[in-house]
Amino acid sequence: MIAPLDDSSPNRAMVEVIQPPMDLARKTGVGRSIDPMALERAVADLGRMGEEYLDDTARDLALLKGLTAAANAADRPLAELYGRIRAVVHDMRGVGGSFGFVLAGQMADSLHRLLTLRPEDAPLPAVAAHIDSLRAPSPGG
Amino acid sequence: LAAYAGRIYGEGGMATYNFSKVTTMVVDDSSYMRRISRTILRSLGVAQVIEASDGAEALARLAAQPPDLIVCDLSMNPVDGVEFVRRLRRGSEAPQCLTPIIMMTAHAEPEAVCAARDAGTTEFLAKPVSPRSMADRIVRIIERPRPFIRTDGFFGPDRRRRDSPPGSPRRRAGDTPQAEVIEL
Repeated sequence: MIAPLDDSSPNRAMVEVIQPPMDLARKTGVGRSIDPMALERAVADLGRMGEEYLDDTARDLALLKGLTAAANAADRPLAELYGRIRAVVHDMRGVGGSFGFVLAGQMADSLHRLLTLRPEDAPLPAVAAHIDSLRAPSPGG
Repeated sequence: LAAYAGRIYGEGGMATYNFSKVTTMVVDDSSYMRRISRTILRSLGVAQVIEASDGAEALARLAAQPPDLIVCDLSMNPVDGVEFVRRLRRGSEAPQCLTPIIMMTAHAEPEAVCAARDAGTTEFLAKPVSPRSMADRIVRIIERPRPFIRTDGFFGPDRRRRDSPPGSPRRRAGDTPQAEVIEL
């Protein structure tokens, strides 16, 4: 519970400084270190996830290629296709770097921003160029 | 720095942090990123990892399953990381409003990062996330806790990261000299 200030005090503070209960530190202990074996375990577990990521990314790239083709053919509303492309690259932008594909993550981030900030103005050639460049530094691209 | 890193990662036979009673909440609308965060946290030994797919779901689950630490993505729909932190900190009667929050950010989002800081974020973690970078932020929260500050326009961890206790000389002439320290 946070104690209220005493409004009647002539020295009424303009700023409250609150020392929060350190539940996390109480549970973990302080002045210790991260278990190096746990860290190695985390790296190994992420490595195993990376192998799955290769398959998933190949599937996502094929999906993006299909969506770009549909946009070029103008057989569906562009806003709908842009929404689907944005959903795919949303995941790719944050994940790629964690598995060593930093450039792919950055390109996905650039495309995501293009489709988020001004989707109505995003020219299809720019979107398609992003997707082409996204394929190059990605596994299976 | 080398000495600090050595201390974090257990060189010299130090005792290690015990995460077996720690509950963490991961808030991210990307199922893949939730899985990455969960994998890292579980590998480090965190006992319970609660997941929420956006800020609204996280807020709804907080009371029933109060976490010791929240790991949150900045960019989410419909309730993003900034709005989530703002709403959490604003609930000032609930103990959860003091929960430490690590905000994950993708690439260059300087304006959003400033907004998240001003909403009351505790630590930032730039993507790509690695086990070491995640562990680093957790250790910082454990070993270098900052008091919470409440003013008319802000409630959250002290945004100054210097080791200057309340009552230290002010940096600006117009700063109000009084402050009240409340131990909880």
